[in-house]
Amino acid sequence: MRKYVVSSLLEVQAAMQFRLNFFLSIVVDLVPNLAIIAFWMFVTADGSDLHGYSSRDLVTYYLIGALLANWSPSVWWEVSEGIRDGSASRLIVSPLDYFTYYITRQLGSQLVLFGMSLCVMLPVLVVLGDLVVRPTVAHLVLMVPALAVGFLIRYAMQFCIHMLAFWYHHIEGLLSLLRVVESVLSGALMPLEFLPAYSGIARYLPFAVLRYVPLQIYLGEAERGPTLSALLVGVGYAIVFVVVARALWKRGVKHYAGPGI
Amino acid sequence: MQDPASRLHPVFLHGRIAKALVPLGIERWLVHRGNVAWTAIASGAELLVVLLFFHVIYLPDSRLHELWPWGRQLWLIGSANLLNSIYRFLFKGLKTFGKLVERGELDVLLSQPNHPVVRIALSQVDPSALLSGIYSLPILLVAWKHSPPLSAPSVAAYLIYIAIGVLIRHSLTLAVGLFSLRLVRVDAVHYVVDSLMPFARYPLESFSRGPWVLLKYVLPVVLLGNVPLLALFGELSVLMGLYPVVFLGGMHLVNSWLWRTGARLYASGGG
Repeated sequence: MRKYVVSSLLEVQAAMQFRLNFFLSIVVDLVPNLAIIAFWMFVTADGSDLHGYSSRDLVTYYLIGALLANWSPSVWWEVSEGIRDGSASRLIVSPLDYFTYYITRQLGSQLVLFGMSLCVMLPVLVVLGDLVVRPTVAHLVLMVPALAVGFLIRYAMQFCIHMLAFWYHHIEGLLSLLRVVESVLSGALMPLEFLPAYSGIARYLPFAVLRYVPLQIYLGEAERGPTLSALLVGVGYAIVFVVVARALWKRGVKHYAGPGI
Repeated sequence: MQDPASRLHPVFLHGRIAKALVPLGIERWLVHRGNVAWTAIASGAELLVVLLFFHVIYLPDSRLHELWPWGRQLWLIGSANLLNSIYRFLFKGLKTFGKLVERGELDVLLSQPNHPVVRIALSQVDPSALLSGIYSLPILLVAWKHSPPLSAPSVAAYLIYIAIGVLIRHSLTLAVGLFSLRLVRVDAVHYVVDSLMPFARYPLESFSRGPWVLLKYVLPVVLLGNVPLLALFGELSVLMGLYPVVFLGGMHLVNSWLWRTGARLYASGGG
C-alpha cells in the first residue's frame, strides 16, 4: 500500500510544480461558469421559477457545480498511449496494480485541485451571501460519500474506455462521446429536471452521481427519496465499473504486443 | 495487435493516390476511420446538446422570445459552430506552439526560412473538423427558411465577418501561445480561451451588463457569432462593424511584439 501512497504524494508535488498555471487554471475555470450564471440570471430576471428552480437555486447549482468540476478525475492519456506505443511495458512488469496505481495518482492531483478550488470558491460564496443557498452540516457530510462514489464511477468508466486501446488504436472519439453524454446526463449542463421526459430515468444512470446527486444534497434535497436511492444505485454502478475495468485490463494484457520491446 | 495501415483498402496505398492524400492528412483519417466515426458522432451529439440546451431555455413564456426569436438563435448556433469548425480545420496545430516552447523544441522551426507560427498553425490541418462544420449546414438551412428575405450583399458581409471571427480566434490562441515564451506553461490560459468560445452562440443582449461587457470588447467572444448575424440582418452599426477589424489589427500588433521580444527569451532544450 505504501507505494501507492508515495505515488499519490508525488502527484501532489507535481501538481504544485507550476503554481501560477495551476492557480490560473482554478480561477479561470470560474469565468465560463460565472458567464453561464449571468445568462441564467438574465433568463430568470423576471423572477419566475424554471422547473421548480428559483434564480437562487440556479446560481447555487452552477457555482457548486463549478467547484465539483474540479473533483472529476480523468484517466491520463498516458494510459492508452502506453498501450499503443509500448511504454506501458515497464508498469506491466512492475509489482503494481495498474488500476490502483493510476487511481491513487489521480487522487493525489485531484485533492490538491479540489482543495485549492475550495479556497477560491469559499470567498465567492461568502461574498454572495443570501444570493446562494447555504447547506447544513449534515448535508455537507452526506456529500462526502456521494463525491467518493462519483469519483470512482467516473474514473472506472474512463478507464474501461482506455482499456479498449488494447484492441483499437485510438479511443479519443469514444471518450469525446462519453464526455458529451456525461455533460447532459450528469446534470452538468443543466439540472436533470430540465429534461422532463427523461429526468426519472437519468437520475438512475451512473452519470447522475457525478454531479446531480451531490448538488441535490447540497441544495437540501437529500431527504427526498430519489436522491438517496440514486446514491445507492450509484454504489452498485461503481462496483460494476471497477470489476469491468479490472477484467478488461486482465484480458487486454493478453493482447498486448509491447511495441518497442 | 494488427497494424492499422494493413486494414486500408489497397486502392489507398497506390502511389499517386497515397501522395495526394498524405499532404491533406486524409490517410491518417482513413487508417483510423473507426475513431473518426466516433469523433463524428461525438461532434454531432455535442451540437444536439447545444440545441437541447437552448430549446429548454426557450420556454413558451420566456422573455427570450421577445428579445431574440428562436429562428435567430438557430442562426447563432449554426454560425458559431461553423466558425469554430473552420478554425479547428485550419489552425488546430497552433496549440502545439506552447508545448514546443515548453519542451525546448522550437529550434528546428526557428532555423527554417518560413515564419514558425505559420508553419505550426498549418502543419496539422484537421479534416475531421470539416464534419463538424457540415453539421452546421442543416441548422443554418432551417434558420434561413424562417428568416426574412436576405440580400446578396448582406450574405457576403455575413461571410466576411465569419472569416474575421476565425482570424480573431486565431489571433487570441496565437497570443496565448506566444506568452509561453515568457511563462513556459500556458495550458490554463489556452483552456480559458477555449472554454469561453461557446459564448459565441449566446445572444449579445445577455452579456451587455456588468463585467460581462468584457466578453464583448476585451475578449470579444460574444461578438464572434453575433456580429455576422447583425450584418446578415442589416442591423450592424458602424461602431460594431469596425470594432472586430480594429481588434484584429490590434491583436496583430500585439502578437508581432510578443514574438519579437519573446523569441529572445527562448531557451532550447536540445542545445
